Amino acid sequence: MAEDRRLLDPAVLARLSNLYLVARTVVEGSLTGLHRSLHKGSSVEFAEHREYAPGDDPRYLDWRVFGRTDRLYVKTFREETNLKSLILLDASGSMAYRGRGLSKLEYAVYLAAGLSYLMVNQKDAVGLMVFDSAVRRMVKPASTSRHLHHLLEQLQVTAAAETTNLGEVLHTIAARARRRSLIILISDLLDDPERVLKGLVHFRHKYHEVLVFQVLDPDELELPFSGPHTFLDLETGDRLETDAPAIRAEYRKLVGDFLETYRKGCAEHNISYVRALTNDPFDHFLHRYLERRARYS
Amino acid sequence: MNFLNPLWLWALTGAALPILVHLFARKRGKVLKFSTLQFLRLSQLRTGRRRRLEEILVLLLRVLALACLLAALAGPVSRSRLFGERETAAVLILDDSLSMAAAVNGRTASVRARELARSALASLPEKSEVAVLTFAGRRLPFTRRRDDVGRWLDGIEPGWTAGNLPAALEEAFGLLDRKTGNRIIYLFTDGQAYPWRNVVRSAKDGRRPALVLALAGPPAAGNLTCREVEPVPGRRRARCTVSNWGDRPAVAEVSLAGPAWRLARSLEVAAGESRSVDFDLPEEAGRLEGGVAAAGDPLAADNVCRVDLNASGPRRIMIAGSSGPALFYLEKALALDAETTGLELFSRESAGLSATALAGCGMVILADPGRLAPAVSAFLQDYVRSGGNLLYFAGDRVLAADFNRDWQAPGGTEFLMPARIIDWPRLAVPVRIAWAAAEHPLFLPFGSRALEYLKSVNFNRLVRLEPVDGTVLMRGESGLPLLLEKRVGRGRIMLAAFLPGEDWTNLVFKPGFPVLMQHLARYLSGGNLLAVRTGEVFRPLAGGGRLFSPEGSEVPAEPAAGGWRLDRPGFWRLVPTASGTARERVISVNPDPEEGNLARIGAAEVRQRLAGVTVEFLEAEQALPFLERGAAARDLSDTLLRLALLLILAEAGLAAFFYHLKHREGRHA
Repeated sequence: MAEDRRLLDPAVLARLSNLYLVARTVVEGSLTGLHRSLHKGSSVEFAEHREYAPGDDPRYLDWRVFGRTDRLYVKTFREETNLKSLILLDASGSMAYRGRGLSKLEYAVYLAAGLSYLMVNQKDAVGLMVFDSAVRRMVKPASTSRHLHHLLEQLQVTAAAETTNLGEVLHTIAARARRRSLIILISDLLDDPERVLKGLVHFRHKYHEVLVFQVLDPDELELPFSGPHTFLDLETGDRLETDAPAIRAEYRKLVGDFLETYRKGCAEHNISYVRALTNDPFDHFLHRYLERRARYS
Repeated sequence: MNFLNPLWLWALTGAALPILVHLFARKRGKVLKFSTLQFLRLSQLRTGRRRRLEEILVLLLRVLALACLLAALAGPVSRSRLFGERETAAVLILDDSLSMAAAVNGRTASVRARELARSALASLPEKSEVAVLTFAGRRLPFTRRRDDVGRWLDGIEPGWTAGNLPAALEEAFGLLDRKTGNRIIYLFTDGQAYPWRNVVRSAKDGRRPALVLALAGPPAAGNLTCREVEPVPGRRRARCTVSNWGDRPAVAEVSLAGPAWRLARSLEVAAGESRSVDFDLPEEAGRLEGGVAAAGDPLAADNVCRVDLNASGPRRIMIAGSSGPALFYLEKALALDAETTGLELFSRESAGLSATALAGCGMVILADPGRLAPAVSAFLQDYVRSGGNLLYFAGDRVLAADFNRDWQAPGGTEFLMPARIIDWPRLAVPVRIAWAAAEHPLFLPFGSRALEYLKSVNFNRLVRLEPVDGTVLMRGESGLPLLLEKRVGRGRIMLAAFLPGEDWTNLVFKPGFPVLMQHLARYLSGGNLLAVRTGEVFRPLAGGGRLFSPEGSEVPAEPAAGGWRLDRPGFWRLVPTASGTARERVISVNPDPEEGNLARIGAAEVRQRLAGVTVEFLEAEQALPFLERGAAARDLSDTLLRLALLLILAEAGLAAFFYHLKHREGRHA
């Protein structure tokens, strides 16, 4: 429990508890919650009046309106339902990179924990998949407090390993996810953008809402190192001797193009894409993101 | 291109240092774990070509700058016209010694030397200054008028002397010391080694003018020289000695000619050896001419040697001293076969030496004379200066302090003896002869085996001598001088560090002792014949007179030289001006027989003798093409230093520019 508290810092939770995670689109849920259902029918919350048409259930006729207006109207209701979310956490070798603060994986774990806590608190079901070149661990979605502990434990033991095969992994998971869900991908996306985007689109084709958090270290954007260095690839172990200042300009241009590819690709397929830098306090980032998301929804 | 300090060229390998540093000491930096190399690799690929180009450019500039710096230290001089035709000061030295008359394929070395000199003259840049010197001392001062130089060159013919190469070189260096710009000395010679024997020069400043030595023609095959004609005293006979300088035996026709007769005999002379032939004279002869002839002999000028028997008599030798055993052995050795040797001995006490006693003596031998009376000492000094010869055996009765004081010239700083006495060391073991100047005429009878023979001689007692300015002829082990020679005025003094007695040395028991002493006596007393070498200045012993050349014309004296220069061989006549008992004397003038030795000097020895001077040694076949291309050398050190500085500045500027560019791009990105 102490470890859970370490992951979910009270200061972070204090901010998150004032927010509601509102899904952009309505998904099917088995529990009544704060999310709007796809189906309008008998439920707690009144939605609107509609002129009666043959075939409407006479039980929903509003007799009071008929008494006042002499016209037949039926009442429609918005059904409150629970959100089912699946957090996909990239634990490949590249996520182990640590700049001056948290490593990317640590940052991603905090992010996943925060989101899980928030959703469970809202009675939404949340699941977890940890992957690198394949799916390594899976926690099925649930919304109980016990489940949250289990999920957080799984996050706690997550360590970076192996190489990335993000595109393939996304296809595999998309093929297995039947019910419409909120797919939250937390990764550095350091793989072939075309293949990754195809994997994400696969989710969209199955009517999942997709939310992508691209976690990067500022070093990966800036290449701020001075003088010659021998760079060691965290995934493959390859070495490269180079003078960072000499290639910095070209490097930044390439990384910029790479990020732009993701931004455009996600926008094109109605996928939420958010870039997180490890030097941003993750709670601030999450707060800001959810606030913005609530405003637009 | 040549280099004044070629040793520095080894340092040129250091120019590769920046490359080695670049390759092996390249800074690899820290190892940094990074998420992915894909962007780094791609960036490096895209920027790599430009960066490599920059690195190569900077590296090239560094290597070039270092190479220029090191090459400048090596003192490069170039004769390529690529480096411009700067004003050049050139001194042409032409060998006009006797040996230059040696002919190969019908052309003398002198003719070839003049051709080479003209080629060199033509190759010099327009405004060059040219001076000409010869071994014999002729000189044309610096001039820019080529026609004058050309005409002057045409007038140079081989003389009768060996000339003075060291003096010519010194003068050339002196002339060019005052010149700036390109400076060069051309030396056109047959390459004869003999004139180089006294050339030792070391240019320490490394900025001496370059010297181009061009050999005039191919080497001449062996040469025969008529070395000496001398009377055999007591008999109506004359001895003719010839030398074969070649490297193979020669059959020579040796002849002796009088006014109206000629005798000849064939003689085989081994390579590098001298042999004598005795001729019975058909009549009371006066002037004799000995000769030698052989097929293919390249040099005729040294084939004749003259002597006037009437001008000579027995060689009178005075022996004085206080050492009984030494006098005994000396008299025995010199008197042996006196009839043949022509040595006439007189003995006196040292105190009895006087002008009268020494009249007509060609040589005085002093064996441990003790301290000489001041009058005797002064007389002996005058005797030597005026042409007499002294052989001094230092013994234990001669005190060092007295000796070193008495032989100091009065009123001057000159010490007349070739060495000072230091002390009489106690020898634990006998000292052997370790070195002898085998080429000295003194050792001629022993041929090439002189040192081999002399090594069997040892000394139980010695006087330790400190050479002053004499020539050491023999040294013992540990370098102790044993026998020294010095020219004083017209005479010579020889100083021995031992007494010829059994207490001192076993030399007196050697069969070679009489031979050595007789030859020494003949060598020192030879002046009595009035036989001199061509080119020497003749100063009569007493009085003056009028000198007539072999052709009969009167020759004016050279006041500067203090006598007459006898510049060609023949019988010269000295006619006294005052009437009285003095009679006319005939001087037999012959070339230096060593001039007949045409053996050449090698490039290595020339460079060794002219340390610090860049020498371009041109063999005969290389000389003309080389000179036609132009040999005016230009010192490129300054140019290279300036270039090195420019390259260093360019390298620094370029490196800074690239560094700035790299970081600016980084910041902007």
